[in-house]
Amino acid sequence: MPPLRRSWRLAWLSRPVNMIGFGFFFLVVAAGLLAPLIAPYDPGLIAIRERLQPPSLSSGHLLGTDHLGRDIFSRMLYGARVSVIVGASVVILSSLIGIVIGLFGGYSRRFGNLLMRIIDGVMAFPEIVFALALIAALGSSLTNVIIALTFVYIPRVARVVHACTLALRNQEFVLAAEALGGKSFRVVFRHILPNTLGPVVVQGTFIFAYAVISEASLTFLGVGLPPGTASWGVILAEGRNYLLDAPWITTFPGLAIFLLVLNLNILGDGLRDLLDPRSRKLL
Amino acid sequence: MSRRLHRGPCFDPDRATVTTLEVKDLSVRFDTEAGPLDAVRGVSFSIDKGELLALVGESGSGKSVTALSIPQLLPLARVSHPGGSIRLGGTEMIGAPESVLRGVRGGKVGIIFQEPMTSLNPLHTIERQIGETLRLHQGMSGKALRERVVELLELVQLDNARERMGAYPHQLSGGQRQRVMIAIAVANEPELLIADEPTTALDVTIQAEILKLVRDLRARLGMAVLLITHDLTIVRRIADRVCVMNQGEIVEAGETSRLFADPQHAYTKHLLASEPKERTETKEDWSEPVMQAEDVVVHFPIRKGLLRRQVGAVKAVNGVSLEVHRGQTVGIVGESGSGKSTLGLALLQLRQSRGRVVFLGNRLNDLQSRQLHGLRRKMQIVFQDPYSSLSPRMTVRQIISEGLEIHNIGSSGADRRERVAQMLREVRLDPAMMDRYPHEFSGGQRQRISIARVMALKPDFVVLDEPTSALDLSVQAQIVELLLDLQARHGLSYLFISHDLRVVRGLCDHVIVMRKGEVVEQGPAKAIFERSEHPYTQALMTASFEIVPGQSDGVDGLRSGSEPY
Repeated sequence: MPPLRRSWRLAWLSRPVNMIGFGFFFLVVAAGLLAPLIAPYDPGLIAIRERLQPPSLSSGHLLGTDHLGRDIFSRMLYGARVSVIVGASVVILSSLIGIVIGLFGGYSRRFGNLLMRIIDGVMAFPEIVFALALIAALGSSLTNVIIALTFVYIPRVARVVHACTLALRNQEFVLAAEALGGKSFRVVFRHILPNTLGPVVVQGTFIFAYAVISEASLTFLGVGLPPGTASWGVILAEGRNYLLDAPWITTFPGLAIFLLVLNLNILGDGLRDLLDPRSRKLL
Repeated sequence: MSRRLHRGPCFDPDRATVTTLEVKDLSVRFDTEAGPLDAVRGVSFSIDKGELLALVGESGSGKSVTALSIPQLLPLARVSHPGGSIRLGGTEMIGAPESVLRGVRGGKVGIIFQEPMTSLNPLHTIERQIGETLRLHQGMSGKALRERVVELLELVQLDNARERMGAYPHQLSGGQRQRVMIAIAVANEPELLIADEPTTALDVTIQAEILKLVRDLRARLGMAVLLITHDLTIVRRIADRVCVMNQGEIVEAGETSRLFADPQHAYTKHLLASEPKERTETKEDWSEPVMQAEDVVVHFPIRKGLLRRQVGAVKAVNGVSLEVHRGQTVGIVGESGSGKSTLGLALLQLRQSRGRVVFLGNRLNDLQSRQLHGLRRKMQIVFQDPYSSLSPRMTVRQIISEGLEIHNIGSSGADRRERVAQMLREVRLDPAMMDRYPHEFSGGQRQRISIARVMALKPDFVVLDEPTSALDLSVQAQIVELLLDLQARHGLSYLFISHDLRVVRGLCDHVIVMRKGEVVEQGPAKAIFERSEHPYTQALMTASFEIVPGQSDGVDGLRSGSEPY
């Protein structure tokens, strides 16, 4: 990727939309990292006497407590950590594998087509059902959730990269690189890959968002993370039974997921502008 | 219709006929993020009924903006007219209500755009697309509509008009599509026809037919025609009067013959001087062959069915033989689809081919890819489109030094940097710009970068695939000059692929004429241009070369400026 000049970065960040998108994402990452330092309670600390307390500033439970008297605010902070780990791991892993598959599928005239049809086959399964099946086979744990979601999202990246590669392969600058004597490896990784990264990064932010939702959904359905873990999905799942008596249990993790996904989408659109040297002029 | 009242630069006291369009002191301002930009400043001209006025200029001169302001087709939100008036048959266009303008667009004013590929809707039949404008403006329907569509298609001389009505745009050739566009434009018998580069995307022989059609229609329908073009040959052929535009202003205007014979303004002189010239000195004896090809064949298989079985082949190149000697420029001319670009790629082993290709004594077809790799350095290619041939994510330095890296030329970063700087100086660009990205350069500068990338490898043989076709006339001349200069300095051999016979004449020692994958005729440039034998070559020549204004008996009498309407 071309080095970004400092002035571009500043100009990009100074747009309010990008600042909000990037700022909130940064806030969630920071909350996850710093959870042990800022959380007022242990996320697993059970205090039955203080169960189902509504949010208040005076009681010490900023966002209230759940049915076991655990502090929702502390659990949310630790939950951010899980969401970030799941999101980031799934994005990185599915992008790496998806890029390789997409590049190969688009550039190789012999096996490319076959490979992409297999990817289409994988894509035919509904995401959650496919992930459910994988976790059922692997067992439920954080690592297995990441593995399952990675598999689910590889086709998305592969398809985007494949489409870009097909378009780029016939561009004259790719032909020019071949004419200079560049070998396939060089042509693919120096000329085609950098031009697909913009869409991949944008796709990555969406996958991050989907992964967060999917993790929460899987956990909500009871196959994702074990019940004791502090994750937004677990809090949602456990709060379901108290929806009428203690709506705050489900409201805050729901709101957090909604805001994170919204901001990731905004971030994705902003990154697309930033990563294309041609559109930087317009900033 | 109002009589001409104002004296614009195009005013001509000898002609006192009915004025169709009168543009006076027109300015167009774009609101950009960087502030207001005056694309057109104080432009005045008028066109009489039945007259053909050409607006000539290079890209960015404001000629299309001027034309689009006539039916007020520019996006209103970002465009304003600080001053001026546009009167069409006495009605003011600037500030006219939308209901009036809708009647003007497609009604009183017909427009033909440059790209017949994209200006027709691919999902509708041509009958429907021509019918739409008739339905909107004249409320025609049913049988009458159908008959009128046939009549229009016959008017624009589309063969088998009745059968072709149900065709979709992709089933027609570029020239046929442009005829359909013209049929749409003249469907409501407009007072003014605006033709915005109507033939730029077409082959030369089709170009001539379309121009002839426009000229005939003007006479038959008594329209005024505003022709926007950058091509001086076209202007010379069919325009009655010319306005030369440069940077948003009309710098010179006058009768075509007078303007060409005696240009007054410096820019007009510069433009006329940029027209490709004939090569003065030619060498006849060549002794040191660099590239020899015998019976080169490139077939693209046509596959059908579930199993992708091969059912036939497109014979892109079908048995072509040629020789290029050291220091020689061989020109390949032909229209689109003649296989000339494919031949160039096949010689460089960038396309699978059959036949014998010998480069510097090596039979390329037999070589392993490793041996071929070493020879790649010596044979290079420059592409047509300077916008797609440079990777948008690499800096100029990375682009030029890539070949050096691939072939391990030069040692360190500093050494390569120095080589890149030297190459940029050689193509007359400022080495200080080497860390910029391609999009920061103009088309001509980008083509220089492409040339520098190739020259950095010090090749012996370079395929030039239409290197000047995407460029403005004056830039074209500079690139040709640069190529000749590099050839003289480094003893290069060129294979120059082009559809433009005028450029070929200015550059080539030997000419090969191709059609449908086969060589029609070849020989020394002088012989081909002076006494071509094949009728196809002769047809290309007549379509390409200028016909002096006034000599309406020349070839097919394209120009008819003084004929009664």
